[in-house]
Amino acid sequence: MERMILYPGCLVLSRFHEYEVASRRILKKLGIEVLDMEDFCCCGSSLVPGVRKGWINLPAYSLARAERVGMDIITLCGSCTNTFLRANLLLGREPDLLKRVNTRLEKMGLRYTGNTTVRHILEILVDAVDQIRESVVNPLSFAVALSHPCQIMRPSEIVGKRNPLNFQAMREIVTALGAEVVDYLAEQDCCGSTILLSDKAMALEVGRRKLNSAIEAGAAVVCVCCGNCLLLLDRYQGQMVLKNGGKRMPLISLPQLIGLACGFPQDEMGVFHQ
Amino acid sequence: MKCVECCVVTEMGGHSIASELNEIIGDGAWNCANCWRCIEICPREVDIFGFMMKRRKEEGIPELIRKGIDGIFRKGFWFGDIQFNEVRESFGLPAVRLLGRKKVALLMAGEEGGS
Repeated sequence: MERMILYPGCLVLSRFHEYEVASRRILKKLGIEVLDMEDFCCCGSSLVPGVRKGWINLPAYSLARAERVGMDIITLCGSCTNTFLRANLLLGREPDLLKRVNTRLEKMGLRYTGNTTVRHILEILVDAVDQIRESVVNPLSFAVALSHPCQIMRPSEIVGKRNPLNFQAMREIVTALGAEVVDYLAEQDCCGSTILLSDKAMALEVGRRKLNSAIEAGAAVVCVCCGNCLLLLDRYQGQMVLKNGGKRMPLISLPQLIGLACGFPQDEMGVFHQ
Repeated sequence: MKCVECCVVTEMGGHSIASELNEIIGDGAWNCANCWRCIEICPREVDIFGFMMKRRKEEGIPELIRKGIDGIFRKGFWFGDIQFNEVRESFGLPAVRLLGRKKVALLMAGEEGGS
């Protein structure tokens, strides 16, 4: 059984337990043994865009802890993924930076040489799409709109993806579950979650427009694979005026959706909590 | 397509890093969704990330973001509330131990200044 370290991130580990529970359950089903990050620390994503120097010490710490036990990291959030990949790229390119970071890490008994691979759960799931398809016992009979995790797709210079403007991993998986994937105008737009802290009204407007676009296209549910999408589109949905006859637009994470199709009990997938 | 045309903020009539790139300098440095579509479509390969960092330094940090950052420097965690293990247990999730102030200080001491 392959062993990997799960890094849920500050947001998911403290707010979105259903997503984490389902992720662990699905990864186990796919033959991946999940271990936890000891002495958890923020990935540093909020410090990356020019806010504070030294941001790279934070992701380097988690990368070093994983390297010490010889395991790669699985992430659940786009921001964490992007930050770890950016850190890995810079530490690989700049030996002086790696040396400075290691001076810090050595005070904690750690050292990083650049050998930890970081993968968002969506990448693991899409690689296992055939196994997932074979495990489906309850093909999904409803229409699903997708909200793609921007930060695992772009910038391609950092994350190294092909098709950075039209990443289709979620579509491939949800289609394999038997569901109809609904095309909608705002599908490739960011959910707007990361604007919440600088301009809440703007973030709500971006989220409202995305959800209304999915509603107008006939979606019964919006499927996400990132803590940030869940934060805005689910937790802040009550502050948006939707064209849904006064009803909420249900949000579900991709691992939960897979679990439902693969016959895992609804309460085990956290659906009853939502 | 230009960067301002693919930006969700400018599409909403707002001011963002994409409009700042088009010389409308104002209060848009933090209004970025981090979706990075602008970087992918820019035909001139402008260093948009570098520009954003420069403008953010000039504009200063919004209050809510500053609070989160202070939390990271103090305890290595974004949120103020760290009593999440009881709820995690109710979901059958393992308890999470945070790195702790002393070790976070080893990582971040002296890094409080600008970028």
